[in-house]
Amino acid sequence: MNATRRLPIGELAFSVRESLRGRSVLVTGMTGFLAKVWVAFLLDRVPDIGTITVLARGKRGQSAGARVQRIFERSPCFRPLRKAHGANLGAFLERKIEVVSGDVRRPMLGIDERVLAQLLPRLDAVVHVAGLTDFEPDPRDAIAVNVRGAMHAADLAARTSGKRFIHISTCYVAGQGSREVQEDLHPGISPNGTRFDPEGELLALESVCSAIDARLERDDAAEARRERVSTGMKRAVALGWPNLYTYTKALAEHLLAERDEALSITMVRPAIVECAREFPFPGWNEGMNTSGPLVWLIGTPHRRVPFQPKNHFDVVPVDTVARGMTLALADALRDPTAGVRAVWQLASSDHNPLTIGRALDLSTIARRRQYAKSEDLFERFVLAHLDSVPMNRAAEDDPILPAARKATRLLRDALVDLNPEHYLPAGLRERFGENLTKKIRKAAKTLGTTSRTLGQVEQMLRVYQPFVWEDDLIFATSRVRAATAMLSELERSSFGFDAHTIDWRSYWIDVQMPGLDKWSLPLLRGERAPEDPACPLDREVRELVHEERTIVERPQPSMMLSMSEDAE
Amino acid sequence: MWLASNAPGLRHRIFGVGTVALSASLGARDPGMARTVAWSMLKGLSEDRIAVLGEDWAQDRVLPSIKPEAQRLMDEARARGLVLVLISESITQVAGPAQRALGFDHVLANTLEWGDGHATGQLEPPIVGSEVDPRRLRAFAEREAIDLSQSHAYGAHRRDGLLLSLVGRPCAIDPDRELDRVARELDWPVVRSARLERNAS
Repeated sequence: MNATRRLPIGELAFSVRESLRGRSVLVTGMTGFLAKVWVAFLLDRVPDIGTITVLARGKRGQSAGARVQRIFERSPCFRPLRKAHGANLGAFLERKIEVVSGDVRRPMLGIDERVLAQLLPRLDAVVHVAGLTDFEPDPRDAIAVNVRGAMHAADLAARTSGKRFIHISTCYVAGQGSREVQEDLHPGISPNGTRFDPEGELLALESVCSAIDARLERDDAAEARRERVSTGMKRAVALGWPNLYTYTKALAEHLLAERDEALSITMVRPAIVECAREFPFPGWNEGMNTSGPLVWLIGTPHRRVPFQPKNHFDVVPVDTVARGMTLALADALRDPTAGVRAVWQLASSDHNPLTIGRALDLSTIARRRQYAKSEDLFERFVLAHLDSVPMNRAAEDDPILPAARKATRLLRDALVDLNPEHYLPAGLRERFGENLTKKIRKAAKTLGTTSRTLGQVEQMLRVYQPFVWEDDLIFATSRVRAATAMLSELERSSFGFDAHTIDWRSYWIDVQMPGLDKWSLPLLRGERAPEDPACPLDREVRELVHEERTIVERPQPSMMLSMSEDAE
Repeated sequence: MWLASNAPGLRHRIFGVGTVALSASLGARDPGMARTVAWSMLKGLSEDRIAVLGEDWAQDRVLPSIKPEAQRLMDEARARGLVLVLISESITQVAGPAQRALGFDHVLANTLEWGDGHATGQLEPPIVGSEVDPRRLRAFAEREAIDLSQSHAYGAHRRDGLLLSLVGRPCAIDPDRELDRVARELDWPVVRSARLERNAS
């Protein structure tokens, strides 16, 4: 698929606010990082937008409406809106937001047909953000959400009055290799040039998964899952994708490109989405994105990291992505041509590149500065001087890490079995036996933790190896930058794609690292990310149900929300 | 020494610290060679690392060491509308943060040479040595329309004597013994901090 519509050169400036005024859009993925920021961004910067219909799923006894209500009341993402509207936020949201209950894994997003009858005639566009972002998920889940989910959303969009579908994909559907990636798509051709049938791929993978389940699921569900993942990974790699995430997101794109109908489809491909520069506030992040595990790695005992320092590390802050998504939506809405296909890439590598070596150096420098000011003497005098440095070989060729992990585990096992009281003479046993036993148990526990950490490091490096060692991709961003150039000066400051203005040093040290420390890295330690104290709205968020009238849903008692991008 | 001891990797640090030690031993005999050797220890350090370390050094060590009398003189000069120029033998990554924090209009300091985002270990000409280059200072003054005969200059060390001799209003601040002797011979004003005055009396 080549983009069938080019942005006209020399056309007068277009206005995002005018394009979106009074328009109605359905958004999926609201419980995830990107959709939340984008919805908050739209409400903040385009207050004249019509209605934003949010798809959500009831969960754990909480209705879809109550879940979304809680997001507006508790998520730090909506601080700017709480500040701007104060006590009137409830009234504002009542005019702008409605919730529909559904599930992307089901046809028509699982929305009741009677609700659809109300909704479809007034929808101008569907923006599908929901997706499973794990690199190695269960293929059954990845297909259900990333592929079938996208098809269900497109089917629904085809029945709306606006017939416009914005699909949030990822730049990394480009697969493996080192090259410049253009804003196009060649349906049925994989990254390594293999011809394939996307629907056939899906059916084959689903069939293999079913066979594995029939053989193993009842007796060993964990082994069945491992085998499904392994099979899916082999297929992805055979076609040129590094993992199941990029493979399934790509399958969705290929299937969308093959649709033969009047639906206008815009594929929006963000690169690595990271902490906000300024909106909703500097450093905001949710979940474990790409940089979090890499930054975590620097804090572990493993100091020599298998990174190719000159490879591009295409980071783009989440609010910069929100700007790009808004431009893509506004552009799609102002073009009356039916059946348009367009690809927009939201990245930094082609005009303001950051390399993996520089990101590693900046992370290390930021940590050094933190440790140098620490009250803890070990941090100040030891850790401050232990820098992570790139090493000149791939993770799979590094003998030290697996050896260190095995050695610590063997030592731990030996200590667990050791009872010093058996070996001490009677007199010493009475005086020192208990104390010595405690110290040995403590040492064994520490070694166990170290061994597990090294195991996590090994696994993390294996999963990330394509991105930090093997592949070097540069993503063209012509469309979003052309759209930015067509904005008025006033609108460019609010909506222009601004990756070219990022000062990587100050962003990484002053925004990204503190943001990851506060919002993402706690999750790796098994802790929860902080939420804001509840700011109850004075009225409930509207939920569209199958009766002719809307009803007001009373919020259920508070429950924890999953912060990862989910099937909604 | 600070920059060398914060290089990435243990080997780089040991080498850097050794280089600085070597340059110190050369300092008295051949200041130019000592400077070349000292800055060579930055070879391979990234622009980011040097910028951050320089800022930390300026914030944590340089700025807190500014004496109240010096601060007062700078504030008075600024209030009178004088152009403030900071001259330093250090690199711009250290002198620059100090310049911004203290509100100087210009800084004359050394500039590192870069290759692919990393220091080459060389300084770019013109180099600011331990003694100011009179021709360079006059050229700078001409460019910025500064009348040296009406300008003030402040220094504390023997090496600052040349700079002080180039302006119409020199002043030694807590001078070392040699600068103190020159100041007395040439009848330059001398300012001493209250703490040193008490210690002397």
